Amino acid sequence: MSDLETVLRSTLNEAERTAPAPHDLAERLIANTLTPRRGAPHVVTLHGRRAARRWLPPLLVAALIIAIVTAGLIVRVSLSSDRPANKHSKPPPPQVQSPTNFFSTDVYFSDADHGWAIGDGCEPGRSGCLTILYTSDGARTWRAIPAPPVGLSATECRQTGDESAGPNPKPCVSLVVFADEENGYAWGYRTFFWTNNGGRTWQRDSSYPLAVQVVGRNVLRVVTSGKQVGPAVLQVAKVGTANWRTVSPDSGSSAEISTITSRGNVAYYLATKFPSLRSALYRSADAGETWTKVNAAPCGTRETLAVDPAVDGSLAATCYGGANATIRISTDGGRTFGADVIAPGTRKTTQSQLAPELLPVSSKVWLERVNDRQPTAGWNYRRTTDGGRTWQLIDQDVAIMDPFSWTMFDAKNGYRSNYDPRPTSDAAVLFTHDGGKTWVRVGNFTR
Amino acid sequence: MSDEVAFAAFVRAHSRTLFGTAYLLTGRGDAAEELLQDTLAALYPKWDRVAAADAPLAYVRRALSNRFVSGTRRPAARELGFWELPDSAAPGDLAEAIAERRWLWQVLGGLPERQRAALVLRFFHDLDDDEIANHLDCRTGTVRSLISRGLASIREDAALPTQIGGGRR
Repeated sequence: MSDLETVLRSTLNEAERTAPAPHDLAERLIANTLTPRRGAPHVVTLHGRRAARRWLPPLLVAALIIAIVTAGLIVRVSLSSDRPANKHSKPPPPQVQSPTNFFSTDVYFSDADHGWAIGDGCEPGRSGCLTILYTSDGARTWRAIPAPPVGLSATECRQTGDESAGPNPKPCVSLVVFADEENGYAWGYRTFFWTNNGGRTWQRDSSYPLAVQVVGRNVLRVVTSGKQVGPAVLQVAKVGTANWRTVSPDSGSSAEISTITSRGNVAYYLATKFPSLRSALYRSADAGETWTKVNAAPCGTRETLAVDPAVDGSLAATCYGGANATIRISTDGGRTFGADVIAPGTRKTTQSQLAPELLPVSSKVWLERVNDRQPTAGWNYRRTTDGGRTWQLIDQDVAIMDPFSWTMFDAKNGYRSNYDPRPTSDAAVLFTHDGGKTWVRVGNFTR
Repeated sequence: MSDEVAFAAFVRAHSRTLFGTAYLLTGRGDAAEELLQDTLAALYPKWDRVAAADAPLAYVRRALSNRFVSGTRRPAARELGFWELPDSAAPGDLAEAIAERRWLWQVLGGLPERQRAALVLRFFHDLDDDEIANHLDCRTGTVRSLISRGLASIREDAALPTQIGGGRR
């Protein structure tokens, strides 16, 4: 069998395995087929269902407009009545009833206390219950704040965001970042919302975001013209404003796959061309206002998967290709990188190889997570304190579909969170207070 | 057992499998569900024939494939793009996802429906030429031609320098 046939077989298997089947597919198919027979002489046709769909969106839009207008009036009345008492006093934080069940699709902490989680406040896949939770006590307690109006559930958006593509895309969000209690961003495929009043109102613009990152008092985003692979541009705006300014450092030769990472006011923009997969690394020391190209190929002829800044200012590059995925460290802001260190848990498969996700704490202390039990889902977390010579397993076979954000606030304190809509999953937010050596489950807010 | 009960039991047992095939054919979750729904709706009035088949699942899959290549779903199939592939890839799989799956998925989406269906039936369902011919209502020679031309199209599109070995030879 040729390599092509092997890859084709693998691609089809993977696509089928991850096909976004709705959770109630069988019952819906049965109901759609059988129900009309009880009251009608023939099976309902596809045309009939489409006709219903044509009517539904206008009705929902009309209901939404009424709701927004009503909410707007209520907010205006509320704000007006606040002003005479103390024109400098901030209105109380908006709050809606917290759901009893919450299935998160993303968690973001701006510091050890303040965090936001976005997800569905009902069973995964059901639309109309997008929820954003906020904590100001390090995930011990959460309260819901108003979420933007969208047409798909967060879990559906995360799993099948492309469902919103096509001629009638539905807005959908599954990711969240807040700069502070007032200024936040929620986005998904083809959808970008922002608020500057803690979620009381959300505004949408027409950009298609790939990545959003708060850097100091700026927010950076990578947007495309409509495709997630395609020319991407880097934009910057002051937190709380929508005055986006394009600052793409590669001036016209647009990158097609881009990531932004940052620590403090220092940000890194890794711009990768497709299909060559050659990456260039840019650095900004002024929160994304200006950029300098510091490295044309951090991993040489191999692909640079990611660059992650550590607490001490060092930078870790994850390199892909060859026999093993490797880690390279830079201590001069990305200009040069040291020797390859093989990441444990990586191995070459028939089509590719596993690569780790890295969280560098310093130039010597790194945390790694990799699903090296594929195809069964079991994530292993490891830690090294000697630059990768020895590794300690700190968490084994964590049963999650996909880990999401993790960050170290400083050399000791950090958090990690997991994504998994399955009822039996190990989705949670965990904190570390010893540089990643041990992790404490702070709260299982997801159930 | 009534047709209604038998139908419901069949759908509960096989909807995920059939949805997977529909998804590989159409490349979109919503189109896959509609294709499957339409297929089941068309088959239900004669469900006794489905139930009496040697392999009811294969019978339905054949109807599904046939409906797909009939041309009625052409617009949906043409909407295929990079981002119709569910993004379940972990960060560590990024390169594979980018270099192989996304690219190959896009090329598959650009193939004529019959070529795509033949490739899915061969390389996902492992059907032989005769079985594929039965699914697509065509001759065995046509199946060989569809698969050969489908693979050739992918190789021709293989602009990537190193990702797909078969496309470089």
